[in-house]
Amino acid sequence: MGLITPTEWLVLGLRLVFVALLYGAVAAAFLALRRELRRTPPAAGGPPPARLVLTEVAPTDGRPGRSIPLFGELTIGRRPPADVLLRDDAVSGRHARVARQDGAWIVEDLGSTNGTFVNGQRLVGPAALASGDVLVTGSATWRFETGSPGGRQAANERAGAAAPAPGAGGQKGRSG
Amino acid sequence: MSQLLTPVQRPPERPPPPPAAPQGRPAPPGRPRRGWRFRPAGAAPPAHRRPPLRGRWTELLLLLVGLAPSLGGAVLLSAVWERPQDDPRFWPVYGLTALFLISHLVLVAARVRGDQLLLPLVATLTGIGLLLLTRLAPALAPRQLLWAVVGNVAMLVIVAGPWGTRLLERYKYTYAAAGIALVALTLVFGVDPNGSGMRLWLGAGPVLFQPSEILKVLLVVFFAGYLVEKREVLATQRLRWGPFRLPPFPYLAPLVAMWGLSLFLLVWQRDLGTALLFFGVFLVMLYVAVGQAWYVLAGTVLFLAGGTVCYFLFAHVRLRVELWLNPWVDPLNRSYQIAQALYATGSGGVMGAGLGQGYPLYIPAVYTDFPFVALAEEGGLVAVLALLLLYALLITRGLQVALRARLPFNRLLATGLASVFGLQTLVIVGGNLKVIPLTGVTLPFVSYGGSSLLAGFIILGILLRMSHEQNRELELEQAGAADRGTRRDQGQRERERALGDGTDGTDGTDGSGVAGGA
Repeated sequence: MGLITPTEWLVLGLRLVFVALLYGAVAAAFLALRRELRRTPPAAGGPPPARLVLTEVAPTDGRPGRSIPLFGELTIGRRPPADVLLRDDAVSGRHARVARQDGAWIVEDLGSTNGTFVNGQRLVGPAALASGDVLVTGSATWRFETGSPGGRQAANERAGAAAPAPGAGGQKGRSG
Repeated sequence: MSQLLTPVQRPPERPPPPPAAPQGRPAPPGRPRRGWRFRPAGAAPPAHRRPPLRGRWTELLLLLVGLAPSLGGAVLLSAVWERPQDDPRFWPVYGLTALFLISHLVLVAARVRGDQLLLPLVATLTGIGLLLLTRLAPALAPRQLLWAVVGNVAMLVIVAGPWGTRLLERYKYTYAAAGIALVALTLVFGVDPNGSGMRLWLGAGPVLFQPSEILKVLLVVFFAGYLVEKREVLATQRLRWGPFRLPPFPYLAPLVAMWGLSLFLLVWQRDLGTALLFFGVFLVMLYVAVGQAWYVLAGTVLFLAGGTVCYFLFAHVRLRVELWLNPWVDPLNRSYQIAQALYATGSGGVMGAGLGQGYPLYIPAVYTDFPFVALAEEGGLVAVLALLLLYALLITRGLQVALRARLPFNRLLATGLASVFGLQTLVIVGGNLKVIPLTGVTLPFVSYGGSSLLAGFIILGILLRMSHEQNRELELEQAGAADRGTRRDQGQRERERALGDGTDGTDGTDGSGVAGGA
């Protein structure tokens, strides 16, 4: 037993300490991760805070019902720099912009030929959007929604009542 | 583009939209306004005041725990080498500890709200790397520490500087061009300091720099910006081509050109590992952006075809593949490195030989190409598994930033950056263990190499910055919600924010205003 010198004992101990420290670092990171996951409310993975739902659209651009989550800024238009592309001659290259500004969602017409309509009124400048508002760009009709899916159904009903707004050229009073 | 700010004719109960930002143009979303910007007196809403100082205690604790292995390893080395613990060769390890603690303090002082796990994980990895370097080549450790200082400064500048992630999106083409130009420069002025036959470095006196490391970051930024810009097109265009199932060439062409150019430069420079890494990251980002496995499949086939062509075209590729398939053909000469690495890994066993008690220096260039094997020999399987767990945690945190991001660009960028770490680790660890052919990619934060370390810290800085912006935005939203009171559901809170502060006297505006428009 005396074959092992004190230095060797020390080295052996320090080796174990080294491994322990390595796993200590890993375990600490794991614990921090777990603690944070617990603290994060489950709602984090829920629906995005706001979205545009396509309620009516020209047949070339697909079917209504498509929901586009809104993050920061979204432009609607006919040509590629726009985020949402509509192949509709009534839509300008860059038609309208929906953006978040100081915590509010605003919509703005980008100088389009045929105009952007909110609840049947043609936009002349940026306007704040509220949940359930109906947006018309060319032959596409959108519904702006915020909040939880529960609120969405209520908004659906409201928008259903409000959708046959006059003034949007060629619109039929049908909503998805 | 009228910025008239005249309220549209709306139902009378709806107040006008909130006024524009004091700067005269709307603040880019996703970027909190920084407190130290100049702002006309009285114009600052309360939410934009300088954020309060808040401790990053999780980060501090994890930093201390995370730097302990490298400090403990230094003590172990001093016992093995029978040198005092204040021997100059241990100074870099101590210096690194101080460096990360200072970085932590700067983050606190700058009111950074970014993720608190990223920095400690990187610090742990860098500490292990520097410890291994101290063990393998003590003379190189101060240089590595210097690069760590440069990297930390770069990281802090990115995190705390007066800009936002938007800046990356806006100038994506500039970044891509700059990256390509840098690599093109190495074609002309490249030097080959270590006789590996690859002129990958740019030299300026004693400082050597490997531009392909920075190109890595720049290309991820470019891919993210480009894919976000073309996302709708890429995703929808294929459907319109209908039965032909053709990719949208007009939109994919610049991307393929970009990829081909970088691949060409790198194959021409014989840096196959980086080419593999670029292409892997490119595929990951394309898949995340477009969501069609078809592209990934096509890309993989494309890459396999390219690899086969390379195999027949370039002698060094053929040699590498053959030495990978059977290193024992020529173990004393051409496959000496990989053969020694396999011996070293095997002799490490589960518990390892003990730091400073193995013979990893038989492997040529062990501190750049094989630090993983050095750890496997001296720390054994246990240490190597801990290292891989640390990488897994780092990548998880990077992807977490991506998951929490609201802007598509930020999502893609964080995914790309995190997958750079992931793929790079996979490629080099796989190469070291003879799972895939050996390539010259570095092990992030652990390998000796300044450019790689700097690139790693830049990536860390961008991830921290994005995480900071997310948390800051959340903080502002919560502060706003707390100001306005409680017991209101999310939709209503959102609504009130849309209406502006403190204008909700009567609360009957639950969307009935819409009907008034009809």
